[in-house]
Amino acid sequence: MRARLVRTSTLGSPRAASVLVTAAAVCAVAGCGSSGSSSNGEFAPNGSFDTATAAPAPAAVAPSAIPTAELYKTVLQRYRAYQDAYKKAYDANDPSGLADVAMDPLLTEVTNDVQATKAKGVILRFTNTFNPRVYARSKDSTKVYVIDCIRTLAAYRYSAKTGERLDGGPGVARLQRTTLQYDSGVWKAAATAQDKTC
Amino acid sequence: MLKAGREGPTMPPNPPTRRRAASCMVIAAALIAPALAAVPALADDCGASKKLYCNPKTSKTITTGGGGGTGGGGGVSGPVAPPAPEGLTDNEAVDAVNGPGGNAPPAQAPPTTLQLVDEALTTKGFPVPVVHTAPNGKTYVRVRTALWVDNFDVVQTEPVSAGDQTVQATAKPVSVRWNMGEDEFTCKSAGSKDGKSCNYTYKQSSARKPGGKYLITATITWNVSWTCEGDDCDGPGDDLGQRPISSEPTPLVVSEIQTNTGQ
Repeated sequence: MRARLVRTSTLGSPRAASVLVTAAAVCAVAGCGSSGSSSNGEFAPNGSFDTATAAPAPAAVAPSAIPTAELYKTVLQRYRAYQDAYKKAYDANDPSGLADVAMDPLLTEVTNDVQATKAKGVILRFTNTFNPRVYARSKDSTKVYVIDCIRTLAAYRYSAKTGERLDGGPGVARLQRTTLQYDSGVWKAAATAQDKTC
Repeated sequence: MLKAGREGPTMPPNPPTRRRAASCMVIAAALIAPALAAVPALADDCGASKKLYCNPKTSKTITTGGGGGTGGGGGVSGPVAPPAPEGLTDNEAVDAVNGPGGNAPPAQAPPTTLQLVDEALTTKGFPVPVVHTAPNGKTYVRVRTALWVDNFDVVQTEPVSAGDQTVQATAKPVSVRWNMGEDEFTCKSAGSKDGKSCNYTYKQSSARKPGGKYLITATITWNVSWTCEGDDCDGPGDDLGQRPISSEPTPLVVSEIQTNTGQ
């Protein structure tokens, strides 16, 4: 049996159903998240770029129905939102914002690492540059694979108690592959692989 | 070192033997992963100090799918683990189709001005406020308690350069938000021991609080701005908004003053 993408039984009129379908399609293209975080692209003073695109996603449309260019654009936006949340999680030692942009197994792995960092009484701050592109997708377009040359400009550990800088320095650049998976109407980072320097 | 993929300046299509080899490597990675996960020295995602790189290591907890080798199922929905990027063609190997850009791996992107600003702020630590009270450690209801913090100072980063741009960020403290356990308020200065510019008078004792004490915190808010010099700058400078840094929770016992009203 095949699941229907949009329920119309409770809408009352074909016009209402049409509105919902349109909203779902827009949401799928825009990569709606489940949080209320902003998407203004401005630089946040806590050392990160706010690139997340988010709004409640009431329903989902099959990603295979989305034009390829729009699909890739959306996925890359969500990838940057994931990287932004990843940085913020370490900056604040708080992984709670990751669930909007990541899913298991990656979500659990990063969450555990942030919590381990917090348990040590340190804060990890870093700056990365990105140059991502889509290199593949699954045939049903529910997974899109992104490759990026990520350069860590600088990374330092600080004492959470005093703010004193403990260690760190300039970093290196590596190729990183990440799977973005379509999950209930939202694109989320699901898994990653670290490669050689670039 | 375990790598699920490979890359290089040129990426020819995978011959079947290479794909099998790559699959074996991934399977081996999955099998060895639990042992690697137990290494405490790699407890955060930036790795060793001499080759800092901050992004997650290869995902280790993906269930290996039958036949595919890259885990997480397959079929039309594709594997969860990102497949090796080289040599992908329609319906080949990982059941994925090519994205744009061919097989060439991406190169490093030059940092933008704001990324350099971020680097400057990453490099310069913001001090954590240190809370002081007078009386120190124990005070009383209906007694004015003076409040002040250390580290209410201007923070200026070192200049950071790349190409023809040099950025510097400056953070000026503007206020301290005090959470006293029974109330919150803001002082416009660091405060001082005499309590003239920042103080609080408790209404209730801390006897019924956990441990018999209030845990108070002070949050300094800095206004952050940046400047950039050079032809590569995306702009001459701007404000970045506010950046709050909170103190550690500081215990403070608040007692009732016992008075003798008898004749």
